[in-house]
Amino acid sequence: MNTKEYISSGIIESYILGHASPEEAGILECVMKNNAEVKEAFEEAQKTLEHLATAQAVTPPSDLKAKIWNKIQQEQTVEEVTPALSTDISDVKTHREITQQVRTQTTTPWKTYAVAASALFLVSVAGNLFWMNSQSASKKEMSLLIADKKRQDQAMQKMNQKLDMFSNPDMQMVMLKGVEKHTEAKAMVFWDKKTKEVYLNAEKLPKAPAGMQYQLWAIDEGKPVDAGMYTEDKDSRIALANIPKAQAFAITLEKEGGSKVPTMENMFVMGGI
Amino acid sequence: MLGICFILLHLTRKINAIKTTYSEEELIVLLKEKNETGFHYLYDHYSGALYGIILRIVQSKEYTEEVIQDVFVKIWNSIHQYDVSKGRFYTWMINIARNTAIDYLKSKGFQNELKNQSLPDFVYNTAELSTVNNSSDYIGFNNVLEGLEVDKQELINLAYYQGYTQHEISEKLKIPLGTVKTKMRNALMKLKDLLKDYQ
Repeated sequence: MNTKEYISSGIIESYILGHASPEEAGILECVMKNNAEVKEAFEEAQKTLEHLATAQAVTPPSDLKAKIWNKIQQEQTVEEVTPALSTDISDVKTHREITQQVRTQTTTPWKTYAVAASALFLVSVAGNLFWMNSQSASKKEMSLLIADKKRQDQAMQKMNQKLDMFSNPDMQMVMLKGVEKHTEAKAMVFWDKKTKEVYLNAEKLPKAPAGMQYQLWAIDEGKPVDAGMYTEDKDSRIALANIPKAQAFAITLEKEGGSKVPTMENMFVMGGI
Repeated sequence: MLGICFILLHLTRKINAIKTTYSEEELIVLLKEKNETGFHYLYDHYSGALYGIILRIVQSKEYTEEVIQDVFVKIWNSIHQYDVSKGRFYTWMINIARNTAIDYLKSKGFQNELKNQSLPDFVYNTAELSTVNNSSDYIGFNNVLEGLEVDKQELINLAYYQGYTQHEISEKLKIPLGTVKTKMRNALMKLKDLLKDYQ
């Protein structure tokens, strides 16, 4: 898909209206950073809807502005008052504690020391227990975070590999469109013109039922040639096959492991180069 | 040194107070500082447009007044979340207004009512709106969309004012999802031409 096709697919409008999926949005945001034409189309589409809003403006009632400003200020004062109160209370408390300590010290020193020492001991035991607990808790939390980070890194890496595919100038993209029975289905073949490797993006196909697998076919001079089995893990990252020559690609649903010849009635998508 | 800074700060404040036009970037800075001048500028320049959008969605002056207050409070409080790389500031505000209005209808249980209503009565008949609210506030109640072909009007109304997802539009109009997307783009391109006369 070239820039023009990408723009006219309507993805930009979907994004502005808040309809794009997170993945579509992520790709568009990345493409915009690198492609001035897409960025320009994005700006234009936004401006159109902004002009619409301006052209269809309706004057609000005259007292609305004051109402809104009051509301904003009320919310702000609520926010400011709460923390101020809590600091006041803690100030009072510490002050009282200090005066109590001063008073006890002046009356019976040794008793106070004993009480203080045992209290200190208890505090230290409790403290240690608490510290040990919180340490194991934070260790647990840490390992969760690390696992989470690893997962994100992997997802990011996959995403980056897919994006590389888009920006590789040797990559020929072939759009496969749904055939009669599956009009909603679509997939994209990426064919590296240099290495002749074929990659497949088939996330838009329905999930293959258990025991079945999607098989890619290269059509060369009217004859289907096996172009590899698709798994979700390979999607847009790992080459399915090496195809030196083809005029079209198609995908059929086959039993796990694939077939020698395509089952025609199970064809999902097809597209010419 | 501190003194100089102080004076400079005061000077820039004074200048800001005198100044009457701001770029979007300058306005965002003012709003982040919670500057009152920023609020006035924001309101004076965008309230009409946001009011118009909300009114078209909730279809009642009373509801519009409630919703628009929330919208301005949201803009004021979440200005730090605005990310310039994800779109223009005006568009960001328009989307807050649309989402708040659509959510408001949902919370009132109106969404289904709206979706079941036959479109032509509700969408294209602006006369109905202006008779329900017979006040001078409705001067300038344009319906630019009337200049579009009916199918394009319907598409924009469903997606923009009624919060239909593209899947829902595809189901309702019985056209494939991909076609919804390209049709939507074509409708907006036509709208762009149409709007040239309004600028």
